[in-house]
Amino acid sequence: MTISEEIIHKIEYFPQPAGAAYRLIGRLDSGNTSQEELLKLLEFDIPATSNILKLCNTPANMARFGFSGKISSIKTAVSKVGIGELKEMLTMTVSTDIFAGSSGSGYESGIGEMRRHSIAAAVISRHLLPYAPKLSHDLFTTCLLHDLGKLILSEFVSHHYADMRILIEEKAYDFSRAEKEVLGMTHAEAGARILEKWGYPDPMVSAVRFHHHPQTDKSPLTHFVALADAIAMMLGFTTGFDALDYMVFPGLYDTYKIKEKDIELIAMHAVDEINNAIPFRQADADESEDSIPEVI
Amino acid sequence: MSKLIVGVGDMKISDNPEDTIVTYALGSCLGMVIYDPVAKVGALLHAMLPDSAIHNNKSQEEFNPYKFVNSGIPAMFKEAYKLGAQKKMVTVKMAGCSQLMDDTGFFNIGKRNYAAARKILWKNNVIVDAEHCDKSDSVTVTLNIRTGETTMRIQNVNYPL
Repeated sequence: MTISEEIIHKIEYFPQPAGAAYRLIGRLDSGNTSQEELLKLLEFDIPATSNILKLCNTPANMARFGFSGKISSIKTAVSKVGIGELKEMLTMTVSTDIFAGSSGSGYESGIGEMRRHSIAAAVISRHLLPYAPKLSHDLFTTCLLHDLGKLILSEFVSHHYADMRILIEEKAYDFSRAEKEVLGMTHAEAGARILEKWGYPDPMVSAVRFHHHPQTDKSPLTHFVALADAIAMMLGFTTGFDALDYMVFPGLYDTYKIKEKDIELIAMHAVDEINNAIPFRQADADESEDSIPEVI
Repeated sequence: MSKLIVGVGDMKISDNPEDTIVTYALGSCLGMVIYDPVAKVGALLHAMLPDSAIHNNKSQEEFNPYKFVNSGIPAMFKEAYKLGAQKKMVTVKMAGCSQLMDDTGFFNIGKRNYAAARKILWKNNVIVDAEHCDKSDSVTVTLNIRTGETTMRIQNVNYPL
């Protein structure tokens, strides 16, 4: 079996997250799910229900949604929280579930780095919304899942890293191009195929597929996932071995009238939220890597 | 032994020989270590942006000097002097200021962090003893207060700085 055949095989057998949350995200996007249907899907999904209630009841979210008291039932939560916010909370659940415990091989040099990077990109994406207001919750949710493909490619990167490193250092390839050359597939493509398998909306799949080559896609969602990803890497919320070995396409952002100073302001404001959501390297102390971060 | 962790936009200082100070994944941020081997005082700064002018008085956020290279470096030195460090004895090492692959300069915060650091040190007649900057690495830096030894960790391998 070639490497890319092995990767395709792994994608086919990539485990679905526990519970209904990951299926719900795609269905919520269609706009065709009523509150009753949503409640039916959620009522027996204990992890999703408990995580939604936990997120609803953080001090930050209670203030944000204007709750006078704590929410104690999923029915109340669904009725009070908008579909977009619900989708974000469900994606946070899925993201935590699938990145739980990932560490140590392939891309990562430490436990939790992939999860931390994804959350950092999602938090940064909120600060990009003024430049692309139509994207709203789709941007946050796509950022949480944009590097899903690294979980598939991790073991292959681990085995073939030396060959990839030669291409990066001697031929000035970026990491994505080195993945394609050595492994036959990029992590972006692998992630997109998983989301296709799960029935996620086309714009999200496309954004994940092209997030390292946004110039090849016309979708603003793709462009802003790429930008959030780049800013997260710049701030050091990387996933280890690939670090900052990626091309960026600044010309793309003239369309949205984003300047260098804007990037600095976004970084300045976002970093405190990221540090609060995921205290950096508290995994060395006592933080559970499986806990839902309190991202507002 | 206690490990003091420096976050993004943060600085930690110590004169306790049992301490190590560490900051993770510098990216384009500047990591600066200063150490006085006589006073046994050391500090580590993790600054993310070059110039504090971007933080204006209208911002609702409290000003954190350690977010910025131009305010963080002087603030760190001042704290070190309070613990007995002397400028003439202090060694200075830098890491980070890494770059994404961008030829246009739009994402070159790393380069500008480096330039800002060099400018302040030059203006104050401070020499840099060692540096690992302007690459594409994500570097973790550790300072041992007892010995002053500074270590970089890059892709799971330790190197002296």
